Parts: sequence; structure tokens; C-alpha cells
Amino acid sequence: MIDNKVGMILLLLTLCLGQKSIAAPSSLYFYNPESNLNDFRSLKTGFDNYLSFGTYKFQPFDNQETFEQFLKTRKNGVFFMSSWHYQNLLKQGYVNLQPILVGTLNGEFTYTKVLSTKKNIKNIGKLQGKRIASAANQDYTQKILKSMAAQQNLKLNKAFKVLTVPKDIDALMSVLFGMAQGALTARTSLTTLAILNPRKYRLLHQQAESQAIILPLIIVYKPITQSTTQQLLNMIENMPNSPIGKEILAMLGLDGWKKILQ
Amino acid sequence: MNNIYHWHKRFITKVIITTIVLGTLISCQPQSYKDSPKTDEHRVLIINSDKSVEKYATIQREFKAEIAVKNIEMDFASRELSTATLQKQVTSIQPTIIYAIGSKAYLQASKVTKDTPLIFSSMINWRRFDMGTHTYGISLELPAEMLLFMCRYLFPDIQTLGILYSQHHNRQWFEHAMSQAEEVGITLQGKTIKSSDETAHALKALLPQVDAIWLISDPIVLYDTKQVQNIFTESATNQKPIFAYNALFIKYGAVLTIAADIETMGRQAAGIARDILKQQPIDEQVQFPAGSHITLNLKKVHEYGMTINHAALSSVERIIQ
Repeated sequence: MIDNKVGMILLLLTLCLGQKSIAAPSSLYFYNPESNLNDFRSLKTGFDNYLSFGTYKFQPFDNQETFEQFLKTRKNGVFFMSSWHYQNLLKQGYVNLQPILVGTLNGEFTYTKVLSTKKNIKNIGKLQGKRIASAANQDYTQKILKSMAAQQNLKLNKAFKVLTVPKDIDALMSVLFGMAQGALTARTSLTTLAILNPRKYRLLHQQAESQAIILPLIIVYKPITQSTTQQLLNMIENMPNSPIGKEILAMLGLDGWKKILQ
Repeated sequence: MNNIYHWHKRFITKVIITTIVLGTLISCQPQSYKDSPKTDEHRVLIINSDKSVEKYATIQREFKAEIAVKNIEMDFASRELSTATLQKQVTSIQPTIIYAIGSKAYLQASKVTKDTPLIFSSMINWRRFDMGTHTYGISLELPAEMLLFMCRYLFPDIQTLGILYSQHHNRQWFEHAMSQAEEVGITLQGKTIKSSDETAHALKALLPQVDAIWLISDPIVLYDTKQVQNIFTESATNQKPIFAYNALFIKYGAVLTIAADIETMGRQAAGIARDILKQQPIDEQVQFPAGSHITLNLKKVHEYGMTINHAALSSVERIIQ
């Protein structure tokens, strides 16, 4: 009886150890041009610390093309990307990507962008051909501006000139100091300005607000074939429960995750 | 019918003349420009003070990426250019715009341009230099509001910032910063110095009155590296963090640095160039940098026991842990 028990334990241990030795380390691949962090050392240090008790790696990308080329060669792994980028990838035929978690901020998983100007104008058509400061990339900024124009039933003849800046506060300062005629920023950034510098906030006019935009996503290739992938997903989901995890989320402009129901 | 005949005749004559003129113009151009006659009309001469310096190379790269016009590049560091040689080059190239990166490039370029628009960037304190009516640029100094805003955002407990400055270089700047600090609920305490040997004494007097020191670009205060080192040592001894305007100060122990973002400056300069080429009005002859680069030394934040607003971390480009 005892021998049987020992045998069972040994068998289980062998299976567990065997499984651990053949399981490939899972990686979190990061590409988010809308993140302010352009020096990934701090993010990497943060994630490496947070994931230190598993065989996990954090790999950031700073170039969309390289990231997408890399994505083509993968059949597993966990990916952090913007919801806009995910939608683009779906259009490109990446049908096996499955969102698992969505970032949250103050309990919300969506946000809106607001177009602010210093000059009070009749409608955003008056900003055609003018410089709009935005922390998002050119294509995305143009897309949002066009949809804002459509909401106001405007047909645009000229494209907006987009000045890409590192972060929302730069966009707001740009419009306040005349480097741009408009600033496209998250509503939360305007709220921060209103709290910290109400006098400057009052100088701005809100011309349009976008529809709700989904915050960044955690995505996997389906089906999940490695146990390490699931473990990594669990660790990511638990980030708000750890001080290091919270700090990393703050760097990403988030404070939690919400599970996406399949 | 007769009218139609005359109109047709005039139209054909116009087409023939236009074709001859365009053909002549295109045949005068080098082969590589023939595919893009529109952009070929313009040439931008980029004069770089030293392309081997990373920030200068970055700004040039970003400028070129943003502007679809033929660029001719000159690098001062690789070949020492005299004013006469540069003059000769400008006469031969006949650029539509000259873009000078760094003070050295600007000084030479400003001597050889008369009516050609000149754009500058990456010059410390651009007000030191003469500017013509066709001169445009991006200053290297961020508006004081940017640091004050980030200071308030990141460190909600900071109430008073101390600034050492020389009357000669920064009196006006300080007066402006005082009013801006008020807007975000921060008090600025200033101490003026006339010569660099007054720095240590002024700092000692200032430290007990403030929560942190804001180091600004002042040639008298930051006279040499020894003086910089002394400022940091004295502040650390008094447990007072330092905020500065350049990431270089991180190695001395600065807690926070806010500098102009180099890549954004390149894009801004390209924006000015495009406006000039399209003959569009330019609102500001010299613009502030539109982007900032924030470095936060989290290790030092913990060392000083400072309260940090974690929500503000997403506005920081580089975090040192």
C-alpha cells in the first residue's frame, strides 16, 4: 500500500517535472505606440521583477512593422496592444488572435478623446489644414478627427496637419502656447489639467469628443496550447494585487484588467 | 462656332507653349528629379553643427522623414567649413530654405543668408543670437509651465521650489515663472547671485526654505562641473531633491528632469519648412518645443521619502528604478 503511494507520488513528480522541463517559457510581447514610455528599460525592469518567479520574458517592440512581422511567425505567446491595432490586425487576416483581458482605468474599460482649441471656432471644419498636436500616431489621429467631423456632418476637403508629440500634456501645452491650433487628447488628460491648472484649462474650448475607445488589450493566439501561457495570463490579471504590478500598470496608464467573456 | 474655333486654337497654342516650357525645365534637371517635378522645385540645405552627436543626428533624421523635399546636407564636424566655402555652396545650390542644427551651424548660416528663410533648432538660449526677418526656429527651452505642471502632478506634496539664478541671465524668466507657479499652487523662492562664487552661500540660505531645488539653465549658477557637483552634494545632505532641465543631471542625482523632446523638435522644424514652402502664414517666429522628455529617478524618490502620484507615471518617458 505504502509502496503504491510512493510510486504514485514519484509518478506525479516525474510528470510534473517532465512537464516543466518541456514547457517553453512564455513571453509577453508589447507594442503600444500610444504609450508614453519610449524607453522600455523601466517597463522591462518592472515586468522582469514582477514575473521573476516564473520562466517568463517581456519583449517590447518600438516599431509596428517589426512587431507585425514577428507576429506572423508566432503561434503562441501573449501580446499587449492597443484595441485600434488589434482591429487593424483582424482586417489584415489575423483571425486567430483572441483578446483575453482589457485594461481598465477607474473602473472603465473605455475612454474618449477630445479635440480642444484655444480659439473658439464654429466647427472643426475650421481646423482643416491646421496643425493638431496628438500623442497618437498620424493614421490613428487622422481617423479620429475624420470621425469627429462625420459626427458634426462635415465633409473635409483638406487633411489636418498632425504634429505627433510624446504625450497628452505636450499636446495641451502645444495648443496653449501656439505650437498647434488644436490638441487631441484623452478626456482624462483634460480633467487632470482642470484640477492642476484651472486657469489654463479655462483657456481651452472643447470642439468635439470621439466615441468610446477601448483601452489596450491582452491578446493570445487561440487555442492556448501551453500551460505557461495560461499561467502568464493569470499573473497579468493579478497585477493590480501587487505593488510592483500596480506600478507597471500606472506606467501604462491603467489601474486594472477586466476579463473578456468569450 | 467661330468662337469655339478661336477658343480651341488658343487652347492648343497654350498646351504647346506649356509643353515646351515644361520640357525645357525638366531636361535641365538631373535624372533623379524627373519623377517628382513638384518637389524638385524646392531644396532644403541642412547644416548640422556635428552629426556625430546623437541628438543632432536624431533631429536631422526626424526632419528629413517629415519633409518630402530634396535635401542637401552639410556637416560642420566632418569638414571644417569657412564662411566663404558655405557662401559658395549656397550660391551654387540656391536652397529654398536653410535649416541650421546647433549654434555653430546657425552662426555660419546666418552670415550667408539674406532673403533665404533660415530655420534653427538645438541652440541654447537662442536670444543670444541675431535674428533676421526670415529667421524661424524652435527654442531648446521648454515653457516653465511644463515643469511646474509635472512637478505638481507627480509630487502633490511639493509646495515650495527654490531657484538659484543670476539677474543678468534669468531675471525676466524668473518673474514669469513666479506667476505661472501661482497657477498650479506652487511657491517659488528665488536667490540671485552675481558671480559663481556666491552659489554655495546662496544655496545654503535657500535650502531650509524650500521642499526641492529647481535647477535652471544659468551659466553663472552652473559655472563648472565642480559647482554642479557641490549643488547636488549640499542638497542631498539637506535631504532636498533636485529637479532639472536636462537628463544629464540624473547622473548627479536629480530626481526629475524635463527636457525638450529631440524628435518632436525635428518634426516641428519640418512643419515650419512645409509652411514656408506652401507660403502659409507662420504664427510664431520662434516656437517652444512641443514635446517634452521626462526622466524620473524612482530610486531617489524612495530615498528622499517623497510622496508620488502613481497615476502620473504614465506621463513619464523614462523611469529609473
